[in-house]
Amino acid sequence: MFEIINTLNEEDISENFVAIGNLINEDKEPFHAALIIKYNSFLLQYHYTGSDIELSDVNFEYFHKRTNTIHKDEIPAFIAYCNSIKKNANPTYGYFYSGEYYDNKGVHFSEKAIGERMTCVGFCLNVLKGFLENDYLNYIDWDSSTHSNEYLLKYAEKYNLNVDEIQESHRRIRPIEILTSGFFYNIPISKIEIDSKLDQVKEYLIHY
Amino acid sequence: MSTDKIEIKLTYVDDEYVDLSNMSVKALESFLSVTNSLKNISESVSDQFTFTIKSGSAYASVNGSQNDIGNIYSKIDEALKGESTDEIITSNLRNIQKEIQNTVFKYQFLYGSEILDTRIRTAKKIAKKRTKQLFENKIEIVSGFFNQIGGNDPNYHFDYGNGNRLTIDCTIGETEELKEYLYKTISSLVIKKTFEDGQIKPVFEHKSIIEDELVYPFKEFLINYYQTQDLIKRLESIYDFIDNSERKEKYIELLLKAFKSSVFNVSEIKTILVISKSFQGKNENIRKNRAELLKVYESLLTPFANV
Repeated sequence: MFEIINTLNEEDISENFVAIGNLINEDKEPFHAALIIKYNSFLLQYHYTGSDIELSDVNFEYFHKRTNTIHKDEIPAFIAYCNSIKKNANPTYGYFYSGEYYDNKGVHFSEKAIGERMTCVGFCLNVLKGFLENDYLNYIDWDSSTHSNEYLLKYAEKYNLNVDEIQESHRRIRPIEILTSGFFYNIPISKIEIDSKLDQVKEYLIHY
Repeated sequence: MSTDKIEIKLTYVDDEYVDLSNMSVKALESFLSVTNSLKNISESVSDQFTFTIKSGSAYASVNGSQNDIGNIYSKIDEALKGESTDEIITSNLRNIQKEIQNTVFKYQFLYGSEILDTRIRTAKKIAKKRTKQLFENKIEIVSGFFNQIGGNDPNYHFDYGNGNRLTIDCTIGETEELKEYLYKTISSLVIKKTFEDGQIKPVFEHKSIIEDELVYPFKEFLINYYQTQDLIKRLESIYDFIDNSERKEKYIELLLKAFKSSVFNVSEIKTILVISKSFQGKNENIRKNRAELLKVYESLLTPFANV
């Protein structure tokens, strides 16, 4: 069995879990990433919508892959952590990630000039890293070639940031890549590992 | 259904009709035993009941308000389902069951029109439900005059005068630090293990000395923590406690020490690890204690099923 599950339609919910979820468009291409949490009778989505952080009942048709990096016994701790981030965090949307994470009560922990700027994927990475003892993804495997340089320049201009300082954080990790990361559990997960499974995941979604 | 009495009738013994005014030893013994058990059960529910014993066949009833009688019924019902944790109810009902199951006697046991004797007769042997946990571990702060330390299984004492004292277990490693507090009044953060049946006295395990000015806020936190029943809300209260505290690092260090025990829930320990994570780089005590708590955490996780 291929372990990507249609969150609302398939029976996969007998035990508690945390999963990486993706929403797909008409062309069956993933465009949004969220964390899916199953805890007792709850099935929750935890994600950054681009304007808000939302922890609520799953109301979209996600495809998800459980992650084995979070144990079912620590899901109450994960939900408490998600709630505490939600209280304080205030991300700005942008294609950046450089190993930042959320610490207690959503204080964004960053040593980089980019600060709290991220995509929906970056948000998931921030959350996972804050909970785990290590980086979730080996994010430096994704270099600036993963996204257009033009975006970087425009972004820096719009928000009055120094291009040189934020360049190292500029990268795009795609929703399908974080979905595929769910097949691996030795963290930090490398881009090579994800790439090795990516075509299978695409195929699966296209033929679903 | 509501009714104001629960009735027991002993009608036949050895196929002979029972008459209260002329009972055999066997009949009397059984009837008194059952009646006594009914009295004990009733007494444990309320002291507002009266009892009737009537002739005809041997008849006894407990009488009270519909509400109180209803309460007896629900206690009996619970015990018949094997859900009761009440020793008085289960042992007395077990006694009644023994008499009712004895084919020599013919009993009727009625709650209004509901015939309870059939249920009692066919029920599994009535036993007190074992609660899952026979003891409870809680973090607590205890204070006192520290007057003795030592032993092969080391412990120390708080002396409260008049022979009253509290014994707190510690490790040999901890005695070095603790010796410095001899003959002083101090407060300790401990794990208090309380046994369910209250037969065994609580056991205290030393976790850390706590400075006087930290005692009150930490006590408040612990009261709130243990009053909150929902685990997730409990965990959130740890975040709130640290966020609202002036002395975050000190409290984080105490939490790391207090929860360093495999008696706690993985999620409790994980939450302390998450909260302390960003402090470990700048505070050596936090780094050290966090590394130890991390070991406890890792030992508690059952291995992941590999994909």
